[in-house]
Amino acid sequence: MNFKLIIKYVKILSVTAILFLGGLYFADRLVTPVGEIEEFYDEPKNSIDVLIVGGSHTMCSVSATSIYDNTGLTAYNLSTWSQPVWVSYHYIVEALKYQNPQIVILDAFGSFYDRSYFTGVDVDLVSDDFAQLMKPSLNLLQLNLARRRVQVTKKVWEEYLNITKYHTRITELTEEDWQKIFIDNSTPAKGYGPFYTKEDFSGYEYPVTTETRDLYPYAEEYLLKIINLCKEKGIKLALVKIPHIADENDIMLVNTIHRIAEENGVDFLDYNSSNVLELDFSYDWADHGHLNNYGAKKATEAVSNYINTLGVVSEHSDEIINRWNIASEFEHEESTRMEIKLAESFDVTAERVEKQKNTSLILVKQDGGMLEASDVDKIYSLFEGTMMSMDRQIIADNDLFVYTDGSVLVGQEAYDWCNTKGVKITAGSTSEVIYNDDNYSFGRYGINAAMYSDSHNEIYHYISYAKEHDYTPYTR
Amino acid sequence: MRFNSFEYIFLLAATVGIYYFLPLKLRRVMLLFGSFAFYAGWNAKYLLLMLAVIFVTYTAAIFIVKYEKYKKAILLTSTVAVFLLLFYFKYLNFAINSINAVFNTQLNLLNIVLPVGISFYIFQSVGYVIDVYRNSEICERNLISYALFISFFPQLVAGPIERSKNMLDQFKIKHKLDLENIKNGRTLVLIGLVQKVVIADRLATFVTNVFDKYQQSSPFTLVVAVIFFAFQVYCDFNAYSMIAIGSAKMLGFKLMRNFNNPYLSRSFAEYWSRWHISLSTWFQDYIFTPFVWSNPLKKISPKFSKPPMRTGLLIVFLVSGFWHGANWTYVIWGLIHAFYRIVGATIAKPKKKFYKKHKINRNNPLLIVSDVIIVFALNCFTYIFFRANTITHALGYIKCMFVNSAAESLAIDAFGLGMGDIILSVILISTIIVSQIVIELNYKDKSIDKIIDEKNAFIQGVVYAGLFLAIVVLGQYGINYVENPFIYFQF
Repeated sequence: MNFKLIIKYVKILSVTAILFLGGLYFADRLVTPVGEIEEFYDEPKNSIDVLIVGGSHTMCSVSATSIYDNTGLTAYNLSTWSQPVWVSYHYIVEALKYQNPQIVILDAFGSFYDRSYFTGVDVDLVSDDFAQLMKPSLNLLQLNLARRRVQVTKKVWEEYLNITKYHTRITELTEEDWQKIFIDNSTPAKGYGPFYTKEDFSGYEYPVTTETRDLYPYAEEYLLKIINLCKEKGIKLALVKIPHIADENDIMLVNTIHRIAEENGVDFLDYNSSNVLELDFSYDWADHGHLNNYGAKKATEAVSNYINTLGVVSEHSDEIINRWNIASEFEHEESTRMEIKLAESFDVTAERVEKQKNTSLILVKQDGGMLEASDVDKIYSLFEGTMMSMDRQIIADNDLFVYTDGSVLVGQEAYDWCNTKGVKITAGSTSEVIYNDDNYSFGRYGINAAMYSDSHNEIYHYISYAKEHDYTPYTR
Repeated sequence: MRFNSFEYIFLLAATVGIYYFLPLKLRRVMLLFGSFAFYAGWNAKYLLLMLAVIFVTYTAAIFIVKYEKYKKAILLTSTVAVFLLLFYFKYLNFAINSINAVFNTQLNLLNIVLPVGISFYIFQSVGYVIDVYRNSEICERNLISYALFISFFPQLVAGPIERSKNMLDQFKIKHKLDLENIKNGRTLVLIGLVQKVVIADRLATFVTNVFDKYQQSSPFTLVVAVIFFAFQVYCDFNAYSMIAIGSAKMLGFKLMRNFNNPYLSRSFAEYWSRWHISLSTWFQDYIFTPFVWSNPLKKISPKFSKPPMRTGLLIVFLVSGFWHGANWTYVIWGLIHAFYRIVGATIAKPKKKFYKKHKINRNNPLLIVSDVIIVFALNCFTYIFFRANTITHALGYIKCMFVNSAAESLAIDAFGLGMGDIILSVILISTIIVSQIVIELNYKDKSIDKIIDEKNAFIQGVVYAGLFLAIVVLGQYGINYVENPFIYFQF
């Protein structure tokens, strides 16, 4: 074979390899939904004081912006679903390349995983997927090797190339998918992803045991690596066990974490062995593994209180402080909005709307000759005691009521307000609330309520208090 | 073992890696056992069936040479024997079903699993025996070479149906390692894989759903599904042929071409010289030509003195229909093609005269395009029978194409492919059409691997990277994806 031919083959191979690998990397990024780590990368360098790392337990229970509100320290929650401790270790290593946090709060539950680790074979958007979105580095390679030691259920390419899992998204890509590669992906939520659902666990009691159970050796190895890494970098590390509906085996592992923490001089915020958070088991849970936003408030407050005892001081530029202020405001607004959605009766909804900045409440009465005097009485009672309280006759005579900027508009005044906002109302025999061509009404006889956000120019929720449901709230 | 699997890629790479370093005899043994292993990957039991066919036809050929006086009887006996096997495995249940339907009987069906590729290797082996009978081929006495000719893994289960004169000698040559062959072969394998996993399998999802729910489909959706099926079949079968030819090429073997841009044909005569060429020429060599030139009809009446071309076409397409599957739908498909061919042959001369009289240039681009579209559209019509499960299914489908009785048709993207997928499918199909036109206009009979491999290093690199990326990014695979076997495996 002549030399020229060999050179030609090398050229072909090189062009193929460069274009293929480049294209693969791009496609992989494109089809994988934005991951926590990508959002994290887009935070300004050295802007984070408190780094929370863990799985879904911390993700949905520790609000970074609330910690900022409570402690004055800029916090970030770098947690993903089903994140084992070995992934957390490499996330911390990655985070330390860009940030110099003074405190790391590590979810102890990540150390509970073993070889039966939840691999995400049939579940999307878990830590396995997002870990691959780390920038190519030795750290990523080490993480992949670490995962390979434990997670052996999938083929190599399925595990390390998200494209093999998400490639069918290629024909469903949105504008957002294309943009994410080029834009700032940081979010005001700062990694916090609360649950706004509720599951009743009344009657549940934490198991009591003093026994211990060994952690999976690999998990313990990585837990110790994190402890040593933080010591080496002079970072205050605290382990936290956010409550879940634990069984005795889990508590044994919690006891083991106590031992490891004690042996290594690490603080352990154990909120799971007893009800130190004073959780309401009928109200504060989203499901057996996760607290909802109400439970999260309690957990965040407890973590904040602990951080305050450390006496750490934050020093950041006005720009960074401003970012967290904006994030905090966003978080507050988002959380109140969600709570409005969850409200169970009109008076609670009204109270929350009243508290929420920039939210107007549009109430349309759908009569169409179907409402009787007794219905007007019921609507009167519904409004009574809230900011919507008004004379019975006004309710009988009008079909549109708007609460905005602390006052109630009725009749023509209310219609004028809707017109200025671009909200079309058809009251009477219907109760349509049309905004941007979408109808925000269930079209039931009685009161149909829509929440309009002045700051976002959108209707973000609607509820009906209808005759057919005896004026109890109905929503989807 | 499927071609579109990592196991096959591994087998191929390992075979190529070892093959060139072995002496000739060992090469044959290695290829033979590799081929057996490849076939046993589907059903080890049926390997015995293939061995039986090999033994019968190998012995028959030797006996034909040895006992020339009885060669006709030996040919008939051996051919009937292997066709009986084919009948048992492929047509017995079909025959029982047909008897039950016609005579209203209740005969029980047998539990028979169709051996993969049985029609292919039986046709190939019968062709060999006929060649020996005609003295057109020297009888192969080396059992390993002959067994390899029948079982050579690249073309074993879905062709091309090779001829002994093309293949047997190749097993006796010690092929030298030629990187150009490896490169050309790899190009074909890659293009084949793209056609299969990116195009054919994508279209299959939509086609299957529309054919299953044709009553809920709008006429437009039904038309789209038939066009998609035309490209599904083409990409699926052409993919197999390309991977087969490419794999063989990497080992130094040259297999016959099986497709030559068939959807650019201007007549059905041309179409059948471009589509499944190895089967068409098999029918030509072993059924049509002997029938037409021996003209058995002449014995019935002297008025049939002319070579019976039309009857020959009818017989060939009837057999072709049966060859494709044990279902009356395939027979109807074959008969429609026979009709097209007969009509085409009948109007050929008047058409030529008409063009001459009106001074119409046959190569006028508009005429070419209209011919191609007409042939494709008529061909698509036959695909309804080819794809349908029963004749009733096919007729129901055709009826719904014209009269949609369903109160409400489902949207086109309700059949397994989202709008994005449908747009991508149309782009992929357009890419095939455009690339075939470019090849047809500029390169004529040159195969795509050679066209690519003549380009400079950069363009080749771009093409290879594009092919690899297409497979990974656009391919149909994944944890919950149910793989589609190659369509022609069932034949």
